Amino acid sequence: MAIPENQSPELRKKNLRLMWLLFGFALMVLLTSFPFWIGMFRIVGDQALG
Amino acid sequence: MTTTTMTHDEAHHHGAPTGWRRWLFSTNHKDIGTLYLLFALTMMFLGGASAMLIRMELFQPGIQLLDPDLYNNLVTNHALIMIFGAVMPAAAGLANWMIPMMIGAPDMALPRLNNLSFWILPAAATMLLLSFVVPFFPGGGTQINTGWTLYPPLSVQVGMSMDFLIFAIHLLGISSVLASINIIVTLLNMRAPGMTLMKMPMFCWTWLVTAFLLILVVPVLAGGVTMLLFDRHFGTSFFDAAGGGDPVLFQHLFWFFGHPEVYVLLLPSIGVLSHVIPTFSRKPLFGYNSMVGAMLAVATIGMVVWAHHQYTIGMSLGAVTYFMIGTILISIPVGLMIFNFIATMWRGSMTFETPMLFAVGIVLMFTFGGLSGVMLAVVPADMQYHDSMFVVAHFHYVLMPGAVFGLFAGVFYWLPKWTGHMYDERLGKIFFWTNVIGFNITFFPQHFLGLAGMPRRIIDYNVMFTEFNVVSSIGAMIFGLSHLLLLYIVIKAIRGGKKARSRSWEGATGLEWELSSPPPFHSWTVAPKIK
Repeated sequence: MAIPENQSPELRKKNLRLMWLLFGFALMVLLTSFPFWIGMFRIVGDQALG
Repeated sequence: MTTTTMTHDEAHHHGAPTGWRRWLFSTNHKDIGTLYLLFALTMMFLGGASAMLIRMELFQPGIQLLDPDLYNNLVTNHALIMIFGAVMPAAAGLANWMIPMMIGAPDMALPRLNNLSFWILPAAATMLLLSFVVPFFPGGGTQINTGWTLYPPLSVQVGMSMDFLIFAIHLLGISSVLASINIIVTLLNMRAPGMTLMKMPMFCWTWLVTAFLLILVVPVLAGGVTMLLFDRHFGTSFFDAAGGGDPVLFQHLFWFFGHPEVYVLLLPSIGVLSHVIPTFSRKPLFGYNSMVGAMLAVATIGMVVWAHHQYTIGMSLGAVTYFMIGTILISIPVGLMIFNFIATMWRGSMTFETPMLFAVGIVLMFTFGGLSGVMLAVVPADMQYHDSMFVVAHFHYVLMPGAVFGLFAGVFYWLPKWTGHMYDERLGKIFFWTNVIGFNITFFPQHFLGLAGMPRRIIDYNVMFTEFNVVSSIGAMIFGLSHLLLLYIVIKAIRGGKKARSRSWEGATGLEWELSSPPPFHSWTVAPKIK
């Protein structure tokens, strides 16, 4: 089924641009969560022990 | 209201397609919204059935119907099904149905992505249910007895059903993130001319904040369960102390997602209330700007207080003090929201149709759940309540009224708009009272059970806890069965009934009420202009 042509080409481009931006942001959160959490955990752990 | 034309191919796509293709290939926000709601309803009955089995087992001390592992498997599945399968999809269903109509848009900004977001869900649900079923087959391994928190080392030791669950969580996460991206793009780019952010309906605001929260926290959970998968199968030691890792790291990852998830569940219902209460009080919402501010404050503070779920792990005094103060601070913006709702009702011409009954119920019961939350936020007190039935009572008082009753209020409020028929008000009120009374009989006694020392997630209990457990189980049967009435009311409204007007409720305001009931297949082919 085709999609209704309810968006102008400019609006569609704007929507897709924001979509990719948000998708990239989500990907960044995913990828940085590994080193971030491990590093943060070590810092907090060292402080608690020290 | 003046209007302005958007680019739209007038010659095409004005009728609803028919047959199964309409649903499988749908890019229409209303159809996808309906799919989300039907999916959520189905999962609610599955999650409810597991809850009723749990309460049947706890009807008396000793082991009656289940074995301990199956009991814990049911506890795990009940939580995961209700959170990921019922409440989140139901809120997404309301968002799909209402957001384009509320902001004057023809559809969601990314209709194909919308289709994909939904159709990932049945696959995820299948994986989730398989994680429950697989251990019953020869060679299926042990049951998932970890609870929804999936803490290692137990979750590393569980059989292959845990792998099904990890993949189910990945799929659910992908679906949530895609839906959130779509909602954010729709709200930021597709609003009608003249509708500034601070003129946007409150339900849309709540979803904008919810969608950002989801994008921020779901990938962290995905990261956590991926590390778990690696620990299980690829020889890593992220959470294995023997290999230099630490299981507590998983708890941090999980609760960094898990605590904001509470607000993901709550905020859309707060959005519903922000429409229902003004409509049936016949007054505008009190303090729109402060509501937006409070919501942003809740989301921001809610992101940085996750470790109040982990007071007993042995954090430093500085850390627990920070998490305690941060958690208690959240009660200020939440209190402001409740104040605004009460101020909206103050001296209003109130009537108590079913959506309003749920709204008033939420204000009372959610506040009660919030108060027991303040008790749990206090570190020395939490040391006593931790892992007791008091916690079970607390989070059900937060999530049932705060999230689920809000969704019920939304369904009853917008059902006439969706179906074109008024629902049976008498039956709606009967449903409200049986539901609310059943809920309170079930969960209120659990506060006393917890304070007296009954632990949660354990199949058996001391005979001294029998009386309150009997009461709680009877309440659970009333509560669970009452949802059949909801199903009947919805089916009855779909099949017929008194015709609903465009503005189905006398006091309702907003663009969605300018459209016919039911609305046309494409909502706003001509964008309204907001003054």
